[in-house]
Amino acid sequence: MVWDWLAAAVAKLGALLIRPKEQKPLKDHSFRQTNILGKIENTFIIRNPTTNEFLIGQYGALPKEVLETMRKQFDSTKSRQAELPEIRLFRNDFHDEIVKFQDHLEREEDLLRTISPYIEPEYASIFWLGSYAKEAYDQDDRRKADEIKSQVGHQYGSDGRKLCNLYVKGYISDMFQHYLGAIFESARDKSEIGVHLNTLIRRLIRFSEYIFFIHRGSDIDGIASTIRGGVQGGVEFIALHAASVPNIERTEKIIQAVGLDFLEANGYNVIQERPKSTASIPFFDVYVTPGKNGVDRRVDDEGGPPSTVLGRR
Amino acid sequence: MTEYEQVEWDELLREKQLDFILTRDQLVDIIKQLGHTIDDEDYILDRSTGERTLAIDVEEIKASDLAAALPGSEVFLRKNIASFSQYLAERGL
Repeated sequence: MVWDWLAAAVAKLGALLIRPKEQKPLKDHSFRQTNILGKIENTFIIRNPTTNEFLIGQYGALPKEVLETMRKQFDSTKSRQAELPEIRLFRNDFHDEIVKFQDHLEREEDLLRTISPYIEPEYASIFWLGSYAKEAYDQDDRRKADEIKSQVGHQYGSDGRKLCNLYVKGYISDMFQHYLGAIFESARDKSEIGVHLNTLIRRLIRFSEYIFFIHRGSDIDGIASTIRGGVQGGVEFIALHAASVPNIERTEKIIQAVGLDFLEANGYNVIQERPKSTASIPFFDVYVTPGKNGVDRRVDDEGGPPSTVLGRR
Repeated sequence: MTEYEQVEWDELLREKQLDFILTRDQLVDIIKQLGHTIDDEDYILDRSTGERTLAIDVEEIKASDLAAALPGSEVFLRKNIASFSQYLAERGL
């Protein structure tokens, strides 16, 4: 599809706003085309999100009535005028990301679709982003997943990033699958459901004080010290999660710094779930919980060497 | 070969929602036409108060960092998908 020459023609011809009669090819390749067209001087693109139609226009010929429509839409002192379209302005190197994210939201998991209307907007947003990052991991696109989590950190801070990580590792879905039915059955109205769900999320954030997602900036000695303090204080659950070889090595150093003997002596089990050797992004999960004495052995999914579960003998 | 048709603005302005996909310069130009100004350090100034505008991440935003302007209470975004997600969540979408 040669949209570049078309946009160049529009730029020369003047006040044209055109669209292809057959939209399917443009729709199929829309992700790369918005950037291509944006490079043609004095042209711009309009997308109709409802129909996914694209149009090419000449920027210099933008009518005053369109600017006036924007002015009304962007005036926070006035209520939205329903007869006017909602106009959103995007830089051409950001729009494709927007479309991909919105496409992802349309495939949103049932759980998020169920709880989003009840929970605080920040939580809903973080879970959507967690789901988006998880999809990237599932597609072996670690760079994208890391970028999403980094942007979550910028928007919501370290608590937000942690909540996002908790979503990726399945804590959120596990928690809600356990409680959701009972909450919906017992709550009297929508407001009460919201109170219960938001309380659960806040509790999980507190509970996650001893859940660590290891990354390149993780302080090995600091985390080891926190874990030792938690063990001495009798915390009920400690977990370390790592993705990629360097982070797995950091995690192993943390466990070494804490000391398996120290954990055993305090009556804690250590479950180390070894990464699958064939995974393109190796994951490593370690769970530390107070438990029964003895040594259990687990076999990983591929029949590899068993992971070891240590406990006080 | 793909055929094209010309579209009248009147027709387009009857749609429910439109995304304008613009270059960096075009986006800043529209913001200015909507009444905002840019200070010497490239920060966007609020058209009512003249103070530096805050993006949805509650930090001052430079014109060169502006990646989206969204209607309602006039939300400015950096190139950050988490900011856009927050915008959607606040609108209950």
